[in-house]
Amino acid sequence: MKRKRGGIVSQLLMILLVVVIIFPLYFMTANSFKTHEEYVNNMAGLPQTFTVQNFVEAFRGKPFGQWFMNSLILTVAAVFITGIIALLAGYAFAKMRFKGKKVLFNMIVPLMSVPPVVMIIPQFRIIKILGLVNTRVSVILIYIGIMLPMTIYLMRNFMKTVPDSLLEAAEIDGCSKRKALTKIMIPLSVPALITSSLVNLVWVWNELLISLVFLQKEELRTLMVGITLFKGRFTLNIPVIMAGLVIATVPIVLIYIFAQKYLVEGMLAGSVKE
Amino acid sequence: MKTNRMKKFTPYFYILPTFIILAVVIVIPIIYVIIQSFYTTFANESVFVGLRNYKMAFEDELLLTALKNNLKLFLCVPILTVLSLAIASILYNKIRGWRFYRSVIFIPYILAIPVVGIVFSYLLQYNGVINSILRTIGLENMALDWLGDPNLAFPSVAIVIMWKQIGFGVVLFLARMMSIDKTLYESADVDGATWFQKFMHITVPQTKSIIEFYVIITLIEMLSWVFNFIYVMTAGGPGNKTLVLEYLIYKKAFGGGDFNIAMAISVVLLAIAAILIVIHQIVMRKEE
Repeated sequence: MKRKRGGIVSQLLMILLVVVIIFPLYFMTANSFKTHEEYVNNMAGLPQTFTVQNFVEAFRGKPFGQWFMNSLILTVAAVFITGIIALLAGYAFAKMRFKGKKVLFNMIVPLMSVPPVVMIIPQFRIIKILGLVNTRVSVILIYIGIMLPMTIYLMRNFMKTVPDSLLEAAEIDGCSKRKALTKIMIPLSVPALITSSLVNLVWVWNELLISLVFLQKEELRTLMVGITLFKGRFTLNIPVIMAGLVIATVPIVLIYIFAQKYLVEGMLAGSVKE
Repeated sequence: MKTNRMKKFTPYFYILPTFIILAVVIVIPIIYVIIQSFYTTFANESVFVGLRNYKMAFEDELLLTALKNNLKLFLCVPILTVLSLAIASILYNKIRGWRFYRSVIFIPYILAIPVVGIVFSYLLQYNGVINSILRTIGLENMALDWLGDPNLAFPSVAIVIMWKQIGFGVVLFLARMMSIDKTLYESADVDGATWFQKFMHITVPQTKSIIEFYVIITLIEMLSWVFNFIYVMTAGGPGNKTLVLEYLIYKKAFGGGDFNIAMAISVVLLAIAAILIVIHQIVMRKEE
């Protein structure tokens, strides 16, 4: 009896929480299908005159498709390169012996918590010296640098769990270190690689500050910078803004739906020792 | 012989790309900021000015305002911790649909801050939905200018930040609770312990190390990763009520061109971050 009552209270609290969590998302999605007139008169309800005009509007005139592609290019490139570099470093830190291993690894880990805004001015000057102002390469480089510490940390911790005996057996069979990496470590590390890449993917896709500062050319703007400026330009037509936000959010939600386990695992492991 | 020596260097080849990139993107910039915070630029030349940038930064009341606001944001951490623990312990009882609740609660954490910020700025507008709902249910007096009123802007932004972050704590704590030995709870049940007693004497002690982690990580987040919220929702206003260190650095550098003062403020932010990072490392080592 007592147990059941506790159950009802818990359910009510959780339902309330779900409403608080979902309402802003519902608001965004529902209003992206309304006309502006309907939005003014019916902000909270479901769309009565269901229209996709806002999505058409968002793509037409504004370089929305271009922004989307820009974000996609940056995300894929930065996440892919980070994965490769972290795989190499993770392997060295987990399975190889060399002088200064511990010290070097311990130097990398704290770098994941440095506030990005602090590094922006010098980064800007370095990018200028390298002749990379207003290029995708500049932003990809900075993204890789920011993601590497966490990704290496994850890869190294994962690779440590691979038994040494497996590698030793391979070495007895005449495998070189490089072969041990490509034939044994990489296949075994696929789950860790997927996990950390998903976390990185979400981070790059959602990133604002660095792309805002380093990509000032209209044709290089990312989706997040685009929608932030978009808000200023379209303040009168709110449903169009909401359509833009929906487009920016769909890829992330799809990842969450199809790879929730990996993504959540990665986000937890990235900040906390298992 | 030669191959042997080569082998000795192999590990360094594996970590070389990492160190080149980290040097260019993080380490050199940090050193540069620290050095340049003692210099100023006159006619394209760097001139050593000692602590002048720091003096100017601290004489400007904006820095103190921003520092104060960052400290106020730290108050979100105990709130988030208690809320996350409470929600996680409700879900821990495996109430009907707990997996669904867990999935939903985590959603805000993966969303982009610009998206969240823009949606909430429309929700919280004076003529926005929240106020229209309040008016409909007869709470006219509660319909306020949530982001425009100097007294309300800060709490409103803090609530949006907590809305976005809550899921992480819940999922983190829940994962740890599920690894607690169930017999502890069973024997407590035999002794007739109440829900609260079990919470205080089993759940909290068993999750203590993860709580330490969470608190320190969230403090770092409140210091180093709130720029996007402020940029999108309030731009530091109204009347600098939501100004934080990150935004002040950005504004000084890219709004005002005061690069050297911005770098002095960066060093202040770095120093606070360094304290938190050191604590984080200590907690991490202890766990290992």
